[in-house]
Amino acid sequence: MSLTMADGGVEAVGGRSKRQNSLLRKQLALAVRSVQWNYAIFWSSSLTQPGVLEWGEGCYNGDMKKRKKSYESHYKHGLQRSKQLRKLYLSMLEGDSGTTVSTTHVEHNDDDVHSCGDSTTNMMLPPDDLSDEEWYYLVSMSYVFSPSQCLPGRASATGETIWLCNAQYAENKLFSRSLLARSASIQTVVCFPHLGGVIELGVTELISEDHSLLQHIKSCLLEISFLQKNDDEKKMGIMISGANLMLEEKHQIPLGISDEDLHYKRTVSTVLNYSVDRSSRSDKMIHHRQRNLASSDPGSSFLRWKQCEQPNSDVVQKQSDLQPQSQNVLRKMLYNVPLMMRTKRMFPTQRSGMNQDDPSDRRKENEKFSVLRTMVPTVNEVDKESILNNTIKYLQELEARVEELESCMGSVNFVERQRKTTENLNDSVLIEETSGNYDDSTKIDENSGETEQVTVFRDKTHLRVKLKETEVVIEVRCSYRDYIVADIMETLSNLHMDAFSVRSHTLNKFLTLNLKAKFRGAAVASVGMIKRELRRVIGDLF
Amino acid sequence: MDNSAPDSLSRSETAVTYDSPYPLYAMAFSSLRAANTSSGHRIAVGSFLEDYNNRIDILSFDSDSMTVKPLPNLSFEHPYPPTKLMFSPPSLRRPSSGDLLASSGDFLRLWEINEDSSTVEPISVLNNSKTSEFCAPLTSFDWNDVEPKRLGTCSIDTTCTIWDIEKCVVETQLIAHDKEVHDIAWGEARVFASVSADGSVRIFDLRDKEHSTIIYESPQPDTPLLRLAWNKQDLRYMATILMDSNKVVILDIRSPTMPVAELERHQASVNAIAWAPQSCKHICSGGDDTQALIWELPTVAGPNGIDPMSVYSAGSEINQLQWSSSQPDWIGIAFANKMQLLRV
Repeated sequence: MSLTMADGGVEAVGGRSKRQNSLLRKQLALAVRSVQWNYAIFWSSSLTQPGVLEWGEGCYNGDMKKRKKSYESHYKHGLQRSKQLRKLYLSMLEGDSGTTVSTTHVEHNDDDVHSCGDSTTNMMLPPDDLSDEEWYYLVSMSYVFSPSQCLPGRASATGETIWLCNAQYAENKLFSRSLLARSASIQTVVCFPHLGGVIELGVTELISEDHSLLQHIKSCLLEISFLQKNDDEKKMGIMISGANLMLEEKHQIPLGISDEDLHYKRTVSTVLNYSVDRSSRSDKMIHHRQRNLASSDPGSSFLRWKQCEQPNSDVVQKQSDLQPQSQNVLRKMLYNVPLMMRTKRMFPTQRSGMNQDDPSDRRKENEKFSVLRTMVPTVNEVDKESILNNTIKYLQELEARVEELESCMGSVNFVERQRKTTENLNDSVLIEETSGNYDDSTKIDENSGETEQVTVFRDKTHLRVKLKETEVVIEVRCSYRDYIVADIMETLSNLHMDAFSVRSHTLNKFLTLNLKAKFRGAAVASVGMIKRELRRVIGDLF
Repeated sequence: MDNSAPDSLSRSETAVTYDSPYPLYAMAFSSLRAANTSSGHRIAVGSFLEDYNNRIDILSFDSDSMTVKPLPNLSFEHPYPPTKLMFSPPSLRRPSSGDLLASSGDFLRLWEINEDSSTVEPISVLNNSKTSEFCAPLTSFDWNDVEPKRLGTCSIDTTCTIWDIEKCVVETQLIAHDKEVHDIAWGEARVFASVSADGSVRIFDLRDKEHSTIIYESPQPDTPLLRLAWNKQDLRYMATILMDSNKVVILDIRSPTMPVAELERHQASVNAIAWAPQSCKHICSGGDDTQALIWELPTVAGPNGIDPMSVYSAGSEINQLQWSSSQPDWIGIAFANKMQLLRV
């Protein structure tokens, strides 16, 4: 492998072999394609400066100019593009530093290139042809991270996964490429440590933290390594088909990395190994008892099976007839009997010598519990703990309901949650329809579907604030005055909140504003405080 | 209790029947030969009365004379119907030739039948709950025959509890499923599988308690899986039955989610399954169609599915089926008030 002399960038990738590099590249390509994200980068630890992370490998899977049509192409196209971008970068470096760079042969690997034409990879990309995302990817190549610096540095130092949403708004200290990300519309970036370096993936959509996605990506990074490793070992046909693996005869499965998918492999290999041992041990025992079951000798209680004993249609008929009563005893064993055990525990009457302390008190208590049970919607549970739990839940629900109703109290015909009633229509009522232009993330109500019919009553001031973990949903309806929206936003900012979704419209001097905000830091304002402040801004109309 | 079974031979000349005064469900074969004069093998049967008062009877079965009779001294009371009965595996070295019997129901209980078959002593009542005097009702359990001090129970509170019954302590308790767990089966010293009302078969490894693998899920989501049997002769295969289904699903743990075979010749729902103790290819199933079928699993299935090898028709729906591991020629079935021993 040749090393370049370009400033600041060492082409050698962390001392790994060419084969490992191409393997990693394929893994990145597979991972990023399977989750349909935009790019995957492997930051490897620099050889020259210990602890420092720099560009290792990457795969670009985003949009390309002039190729807007979406195609489910083979992953090698993605690799091709990545290679072209890499070459472009290096040539730009060369242009800056003036030193010659022998890069053209570094990226070529036998397995990558032989099927796609050489001519395309040799062609240099004109910089103008790059889309914003490609620029982002390209410029990322120049980045170097010292330990704990920025996203990859921190991921490597702490050894944990970092999931950054709204990367384009992140602070520079946290994510130094946030401006770049903004121009490229990269909204989510994930970093996690892998093999001494850090893997980074990014996408132009806002995706919330998803562990299963992470697991999937990680398993992609392992999958091909199995395939590679075992090609030269005993024929282990491990086929990658989504999450399923099919193992052939062999029991020796290379282990060592703890991962969720590995649990399965390990368990199966344990069982099979044991099975091998055991069968070799019990072989001797089997022989002398080898009774041929097929021959129904006269001593057998069983009769030989006759083909077409009963046609299948009868089976179906009979089964549907028996459906409600099938497996009676088994069902009773599994359901009725445990229920009986629990019920009897609640009202112990036949236990001798167990509850002799205040039996009458206990009975009264039990009676009260059953009364409570009838009042609270429970699900079949008869034990005291569940009744109490359900009661607590029910009370919490009722409290929330009461608060909500109180906040809508001023108006006579307050807007129902469902918002589908149009019975109270009269002349002063506006019916608004919001079209599908708004994406679903800004929807506040639980209605599904793209258009929403909202029944609004004119001149009815209304303020609703809902707090859900760190997210606040605010709905304001009031008469419009100049700069009211700005004032509201400022109020929110003073309360340490950042609005990330705002929807507003004004009609006949009446403002309807729906917004969602997030708390900036750990300090969280209460619903009451938010409402108070907002009321002050709106004009304290109620 | 004392109306003992006459040594009557039932319809078929080679079936041995025991008539019980109450309906039977749980059944277990002992692996030890009794040391006393009756020189038969012990069989434990549990009653099924939807009441607090239930009984377990110990019978003695002599295959040479083809007789089965109860041992009245060894009949004892059990609170609530025992959901499963099991004798200790042969690998458990016991100082005497007395038998150790485990029963599950409201608790896991251990009983000792002493050597001259004179009494049954309760040894312990195992409660896995630290906070309450009650534990969640147990639907089933399995005794690990490789590591015989290990016993796993499963319960309707979605957990499986692994016991060390020598020390009578809980080794571990895992939340196995999202819904009630219906059955549990050991594969190896530290590996077990369980089925649940959530319709999945999961394999657990005690060395990695954080993870489990789903081997199979019922095709209609949330169809409960009722019973599970792991082929002790060929640990690759497991069998399970679904609720309201006449199919016996055979699974290969090496190819998860796809069953290797679905045995569909019962004319009504299947209630019980048991793998042959000495052969890796045979399995027996009994169902509501009153039939017990013995199947031989071929290496390649024909286009019309797999046909059973032989069939036995009992008097009414077969609720329980056990294949004696110490006497592989005999299969025990329980239906209505009877327990029958069928010669294979």
